[in-house]
Amino acid sequence: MRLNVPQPHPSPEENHPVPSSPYADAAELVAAIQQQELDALEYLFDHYSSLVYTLAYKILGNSPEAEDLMQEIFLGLWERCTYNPSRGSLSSFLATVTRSRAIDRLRMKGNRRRILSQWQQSLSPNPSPTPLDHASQSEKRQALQQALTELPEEYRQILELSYFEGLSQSQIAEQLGKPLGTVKTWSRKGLIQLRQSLQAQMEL
Amino acid sequence: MVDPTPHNRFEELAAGYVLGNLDSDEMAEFQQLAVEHPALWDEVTGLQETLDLLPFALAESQPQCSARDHIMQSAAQAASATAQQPTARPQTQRPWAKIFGSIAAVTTITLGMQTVHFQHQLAQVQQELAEQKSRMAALPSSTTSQATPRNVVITTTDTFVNQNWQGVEQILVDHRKSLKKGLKAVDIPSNQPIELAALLRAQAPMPSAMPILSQVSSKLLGGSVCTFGQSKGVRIMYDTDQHGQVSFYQIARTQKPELPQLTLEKLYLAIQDGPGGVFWSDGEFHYAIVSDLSADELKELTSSVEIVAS
Repeated sequence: MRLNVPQPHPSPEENHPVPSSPYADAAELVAAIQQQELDALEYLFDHYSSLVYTLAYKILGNSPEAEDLMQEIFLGLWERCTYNPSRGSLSSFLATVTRSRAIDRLRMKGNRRRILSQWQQSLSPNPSPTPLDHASQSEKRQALQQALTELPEEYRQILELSYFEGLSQSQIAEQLGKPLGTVKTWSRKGLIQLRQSLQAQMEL
Repeated sequence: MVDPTPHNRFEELAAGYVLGNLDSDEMAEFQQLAVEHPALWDEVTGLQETLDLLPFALAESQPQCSARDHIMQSAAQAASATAQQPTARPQTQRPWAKIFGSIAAVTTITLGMQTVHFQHQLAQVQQELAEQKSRMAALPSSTTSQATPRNVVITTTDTFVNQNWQGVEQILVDHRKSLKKGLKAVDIPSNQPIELAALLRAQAPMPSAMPILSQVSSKLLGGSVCTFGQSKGVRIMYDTDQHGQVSFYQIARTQKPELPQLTLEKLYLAIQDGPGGVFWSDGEFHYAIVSDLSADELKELTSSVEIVAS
């Protein structure tokens, strides 16, 4: 099975039946949400709250705000489901929404500066393993751990700063004391290499 | 003929696009390639999916157990409130009612302001609608080709607009100027509405729930911050298959620029020898979609406006 790249159509990961899921695929889940079925929201929360909360907590740095954002995202999605399965996976959509809003909140507060050393240990290639409800999420996590170990440290660090803190390339260049061109090149190579590594694993 | 663009250049540009670090020359090259090779968007999608896997590398955190109950309670209350609402809505739901309802619903849940905000807006809308009708009645009959409570279409000239609605004129001029800039028409290129909203919101007021054109053939190009007199807002641009570039303005309401007394009812202005537009407002923002389309085509395009919780 390939990772969801590139996928103009519903991604196989999202549309494969999931053993514990009452929904055949993501489109059916979306339909249930649009029908305002509370079961659908429960399913959504049980399978994706960890992703949303973990990312929100990492960016915002405190539990109350992370929970507040998580609530905003899930209730907003339930009230008006803007997710379109044909444009990518649900987890990618939720990650994008969570990241955007969390960084937006940070910017509003003018509180986005972090100490670099915090990040050097933040993305451990081997975080504590936690049982997952969702088979495909477990698969993603394992593949990502492996891919990150194969990524040069400088590539990984730039991707982290860019993704989790929303820093511009010039801000990253300043923080790391590297030329802007180098930062751009490393970030692009890092993302491409990460994708290639993931694809190679998921094809096994 | 052999494609002269090597795959690694495709990848590099797509990665730069996803990471938001293309310079202007690279962006021009990217946009050109995207036109010639639509498969480039698949590359973008794949890389975006990859980037969005990064949260899975974090050590998992769990929200408190009460968070789940809280969300389910809020949702159940909202569902119950919806079920209790009378269903005697007009059978043909007005296009703006969908938007208005969405904004009100999101406001109800996220801000807990419940119906107070809604009622305030409703009163404001009713008052402005009355003013709008009064203003329309005072217009020369020759300028009004069709006037219904739902959609007002005015066919007029650039001179009339310039003399009467300077704010409208400024918006039309801004659209025309942006078209002349070609690929540099937007300061923040992005095809991701939520990302774009986050980036624009850092620089200008934005609606809490951003309207977007959801027509499949409309491709989001990006956005720019705009200032009209005392009003600040954003211009979000789309490329449409059939009708060229379309500008969707979202401008914070102030006394100036002088715009028609807009409401959620849509005002279509067909300007002779120039781009026309559709204009409307909610309680806080003016909205305008400007393009070279006819009023009928604008109506069709406007019907594809959806709210993105951004």
